[in-house]
Amino acid sequence: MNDRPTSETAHGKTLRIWLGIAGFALVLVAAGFALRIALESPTTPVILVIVATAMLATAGAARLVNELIERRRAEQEAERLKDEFFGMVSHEMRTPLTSIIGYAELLSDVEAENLSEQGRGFVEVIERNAQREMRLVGDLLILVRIEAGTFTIDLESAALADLAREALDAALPRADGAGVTLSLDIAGELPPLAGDPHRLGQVLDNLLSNAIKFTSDGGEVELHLSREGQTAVIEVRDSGIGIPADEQERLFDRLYRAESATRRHIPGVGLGLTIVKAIVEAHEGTVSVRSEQGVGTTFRVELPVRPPPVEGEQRRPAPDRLAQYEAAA
Amino acid sequence: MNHLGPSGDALILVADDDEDILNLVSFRLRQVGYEVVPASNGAEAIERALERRPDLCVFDIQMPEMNGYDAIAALRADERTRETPVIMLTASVEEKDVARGFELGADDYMRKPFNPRELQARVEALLKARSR
Repeated sequence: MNDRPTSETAHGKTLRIWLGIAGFALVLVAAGFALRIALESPTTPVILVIVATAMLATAGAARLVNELIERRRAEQEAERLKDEFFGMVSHEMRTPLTSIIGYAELLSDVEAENLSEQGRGFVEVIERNAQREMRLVGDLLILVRIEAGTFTIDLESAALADLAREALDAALPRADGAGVTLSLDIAGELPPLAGDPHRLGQVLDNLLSNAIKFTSDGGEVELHLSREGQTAVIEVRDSGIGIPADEQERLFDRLYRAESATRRHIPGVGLGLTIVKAIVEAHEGTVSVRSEQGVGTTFRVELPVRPPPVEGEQRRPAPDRLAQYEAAA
Repeated sequence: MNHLGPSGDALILVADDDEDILNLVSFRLRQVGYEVVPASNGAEAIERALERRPDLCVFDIQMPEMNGYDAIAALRADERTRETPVIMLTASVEEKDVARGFELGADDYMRKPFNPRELQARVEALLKARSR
């Protein structure tokens, strides 16, 4: 079943040798005592049988422990190789996209006068699609990790109110373009909770993006934050086309797209909600939907409010560092 | 376009094993007036850094012949380059990869793909902070 591992740490090897020696020594000692007793006693056969069983048991146990250590080591090696592989794939897929986006921008900036209006339009198409590809690569890599069971979040201090404001700002251009009104409502105090700000930001971006996509011109999308006891509640409510009841259950399945989406040629691959669900569940929260066709849809995310980890684990110094330089400038 | 003026004739060392990205970043930085010395891997980056004593370094992380992490460590280990500000460029999405760079002594980071104008702004900010 298992392939023989190709390498073994020096530590593992030493451990196995010592276990082997210990087992053998134990057996010798037992045999020695047994022989002494056997030579002086009438119950020799019984004692010999007991000793033989003990020897077999020790040998069996030693082999079992050995096997377990081997297996654990092979697992850890496989994990490490998987991580290395994903890292490499992520890098390989992002690197050419960096150049596509970068040089398309150079064309728009530096060569603007040499490009016709039409030419500039073409460049914009290149940029837009390269950005799309980049997002898709990001989503795919997350999905692969979810499938492999290696998707993890980094627990830090997450300030939902700030994340909500950022997500709203980022979604404004798209909302304006679609003729959809965005609003944010924060009910009460929301202290920072234990969570992954980057991933939670993705959840908000995704829910807002979907809401805007499925709402027609003149419609509204509202982002609500509130607290109910020890639960933080995020709701994204839209006045869009709604989702039929039978589709609501399968919404979070991988690659599932609402029938209306395909029919109306709304772009998307169907990865978003699967990822949203994985992130929310990694936070030990829940995500649910209620919807009425022709009226609107509300996505509800509930997250447990737990105090963020201690100061020492705080990351993301970069934005703060930049802010501190800019403020002083 | 919102250009922050360059701080004099600052010299920037840029290291990336992808030639296109190296050219892209060098072009953008020269565009706003910096002098740029390029390097294609970590070993070359350290060599150039000790030779030319740049005012700031931009290091890709995944490079052959010494990756960005080792290059940052080498920079910090030499007293001639210990204080040189370093910005990491990384394609990784893992916080721990970014954190590792900071632990080794990087001052800032940008994820790929990055907006060259944002890189310019961060270079400018770091140089300004240092010249105080």
